[in-house]
Amino acid sequence: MTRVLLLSLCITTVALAGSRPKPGGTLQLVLVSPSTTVDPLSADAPIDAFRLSLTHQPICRLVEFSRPAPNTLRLTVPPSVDVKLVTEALTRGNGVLLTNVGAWLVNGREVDLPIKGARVDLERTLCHPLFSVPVGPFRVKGSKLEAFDEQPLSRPYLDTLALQSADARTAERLFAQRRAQLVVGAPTPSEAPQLFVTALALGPGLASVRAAIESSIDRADLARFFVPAPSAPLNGLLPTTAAPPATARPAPLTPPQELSLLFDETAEHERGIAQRLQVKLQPFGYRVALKPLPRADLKTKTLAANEFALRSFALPPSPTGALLMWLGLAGQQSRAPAVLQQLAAAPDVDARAKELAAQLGPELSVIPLVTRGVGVMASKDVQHLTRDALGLPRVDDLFLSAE
Amino acid sequence: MRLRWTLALAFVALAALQVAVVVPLALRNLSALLGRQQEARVDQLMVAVDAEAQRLQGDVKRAMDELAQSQALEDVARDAARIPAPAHVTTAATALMTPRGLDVLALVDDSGRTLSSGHLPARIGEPDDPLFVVTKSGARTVVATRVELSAPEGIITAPALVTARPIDYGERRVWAIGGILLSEARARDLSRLTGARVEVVSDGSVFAHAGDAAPPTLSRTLPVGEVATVRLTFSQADLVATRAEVLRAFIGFAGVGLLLSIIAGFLVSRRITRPVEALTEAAEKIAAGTPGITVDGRHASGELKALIATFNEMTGDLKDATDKLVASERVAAWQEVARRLAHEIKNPLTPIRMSLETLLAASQRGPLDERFTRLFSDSARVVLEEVDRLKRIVDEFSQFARLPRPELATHELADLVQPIMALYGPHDGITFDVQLQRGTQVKADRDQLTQVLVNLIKNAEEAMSGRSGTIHVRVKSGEAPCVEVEDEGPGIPAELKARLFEPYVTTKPQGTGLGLAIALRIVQEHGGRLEVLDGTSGGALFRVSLPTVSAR
Repeated sequence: MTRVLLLSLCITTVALAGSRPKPGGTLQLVLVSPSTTVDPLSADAPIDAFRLSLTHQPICRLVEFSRPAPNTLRLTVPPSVDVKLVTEALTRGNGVLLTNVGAWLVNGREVDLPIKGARVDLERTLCHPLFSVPVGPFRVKGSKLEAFDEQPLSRPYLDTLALQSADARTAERLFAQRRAQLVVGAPTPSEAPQLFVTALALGPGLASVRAAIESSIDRADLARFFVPAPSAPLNGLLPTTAAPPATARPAPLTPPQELSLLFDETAEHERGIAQRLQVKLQPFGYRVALKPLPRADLKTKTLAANEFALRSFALPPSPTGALLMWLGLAGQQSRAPAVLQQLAAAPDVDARAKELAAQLGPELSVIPLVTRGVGVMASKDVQHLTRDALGLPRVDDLFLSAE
Repeated sequence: MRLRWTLALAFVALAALQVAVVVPLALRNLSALLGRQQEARVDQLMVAVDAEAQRLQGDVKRAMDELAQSQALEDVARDAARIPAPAHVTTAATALMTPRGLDVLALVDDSGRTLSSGHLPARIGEPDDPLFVVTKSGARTVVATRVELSAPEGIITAPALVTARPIDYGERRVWAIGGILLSEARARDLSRLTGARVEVVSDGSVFAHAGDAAPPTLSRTLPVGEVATVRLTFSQADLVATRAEVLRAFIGFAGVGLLLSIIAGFLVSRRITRPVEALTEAAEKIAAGTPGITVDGRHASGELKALIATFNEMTGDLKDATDKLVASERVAAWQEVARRLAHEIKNPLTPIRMSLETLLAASQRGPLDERFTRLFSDSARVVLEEVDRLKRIVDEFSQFARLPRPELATHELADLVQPIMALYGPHDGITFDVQLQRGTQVKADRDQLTQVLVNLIKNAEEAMSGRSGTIHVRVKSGEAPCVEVEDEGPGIPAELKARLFEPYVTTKPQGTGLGLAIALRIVQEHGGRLEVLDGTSGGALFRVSLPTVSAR
């Protein structure tokens, strides 16, 4: 019996030794994307957000949160991070819209945010890539990314990331040849959260086209045919919304109406969706002209009366933040106080947020279409590959096991 | 116009006439020839276009046949019914289309639902009725149809040549419908093949075009089923340029030919007319009184040479004859002068002789009494008178014979006449009417011309002797300047007019008959003319015409 126990202990010990974190090593990482952006304002695609996460981290992971008062969220910034970087991140882009906090107070390394309403999920909202600061697990050194020792969080297990970009076919070949240990952006299914949204923003006076779109567009088809996996239909303002009931098909317009559909010229899935909308809206008497634009121009474009645009962005990993994001996209920020007030009064914020999303959905001049995530292919030696709140793989937590 | 220029112009006109006739005719024929060649070339190109269309249809058929046999389509047919459709089904058309040179490829299930679309991926899951109709055509032919495409301006329909192939997997059937678009690329291919501007016209508008055709153009059309027409526009600019080039060459050659014709015409006419001109000049000289002129006949040939020889011979004979005639005339003239002079001299001699014989007879009859003295006195007076007459005859003859050469100077004609007329005034019932027009400059010897005019006025006075009247003296300028002296006497009989200026011809009892002869000679020495006409009042009119300064 003792021998059996000793044998079992030895086997267990060997097994544990095999899966035990082994610091160091270089990870051969392939990104399936032509994008190399590291700008928090442009991290609208999952692969871009992942690329950003290698050298940046959102505030939610860097600071310590506390609530010294019911309406105050205190951010305690670690000594290795400049407080100014945090405050800058809070005001970046739509940051003010997403947090919807009052004028904050900086006291040494503490930043007190006056909360409007009961924002129990404000901490999660700050995990949005928009609030990233350039203090990540890795930093660029030459053509590689090296572990950043001075960061406030613990040092990543890996020493180096050998990063390269490739198309899906090349990435698959590299992985098959064991020249890539981790492929991020592979068209593989994933159970992780998919918060990268593509939606249709309608210009003023285009409410009538909503019925034609809702009655003809099959979001599942969009996700299946035109958006690389992993992707899913987005039936409402929040990812968990159930499919809406079928909408009656409106009568075709006579004479045909000319519309312009704007989309990001670098987003291939938007082009596919745009052409699908061309095909789908034609029977309704809408002649849709496609206007690809640079992403930056599209973000700042004010839609004309006969224009609608495809917009891709990341939803905050919190229902409140997501609703505020939709209000901003629809140009209805003025409704934010009322929404926050209703959420503050609810005992279950998430449940109330879903109700509000269902209520707001038809009222806003936006039509959610699909969500996207990040597919990953990892070799057997890649261990402890976790995902963050947006469903992005976290490379700083993984390690390479000895095979 | 001189013969030389007439001949030269005739040569030029002949050459120009040839150019005017030949060039348009040649150009018209050339243009027609080039036009026919262009038509033939276009016809050949249209045959090539037709062959290219057949080739494209053949390519489409082969590509679709190969596709229908491919494992990939068999896999599509096998998995077409899976829900959701696998990626190799939904993306099959895009992957299979391009390597086979197809612009259009749709995989459609038997109900007409699009499983995969290469030309319009957004069509997936949707029916494509216009394209699915192709599957009903039965035979594996290529048909022309309209295909929907996504374009920046919206969904458009494009003309295409497509064919359908069924792929069966068990009970399941999938259709592959593929082909080519009549797109810019095809238009470019055809344009490169033909060099023409190619337009694919569908639904009344140009769907695709390529190439360019500079005007003027020639168009041909090729129908593509009932969905489109391929219009080929061939430029005829080359034809026009060739025609213009030929025209320029023709004009150049014609110009050079014309120039050569002018030069040759001038040289030939010069060669031809030089002897003629020499003959003309010689004839003019002979006519002017220069005898013995000969023409150099070295440059002449043929008839002209013979003509010159004959002319020279004739002028030689004429000179001889003239010399003889002049000599004989001179002898005759002198004989006449001698006869007249003898006659004139003989006239006074008779009274002298008779007077002297009377005196001699009286002296022989008795003493020299008073009667003899009276007779002697009368006879001496007669003798003296006749001697004076003889002396005058001799003086005038001497003057006529020794008339000096005129010393010419430029004078206003009126200024020559006016001082002379100042000497005359009304007398014996004769008045003078003087009309002086100024503006005529002549070169004249004032003294000699004065002598002429005094002589003419004296004649006029003598003609009006015993009657009253007016002597008109006129100086006329203008085109025919002259001095006219007209009397109102009895006039000159016609038979006398012809001999009036000959020496010793006179109607006056005391006249010597040398006055008008001397006047004529003076006027002739001035290069002028003296003529006698009938006056307006029946008298005589003498007109002195002198060459003017400018005329000289």
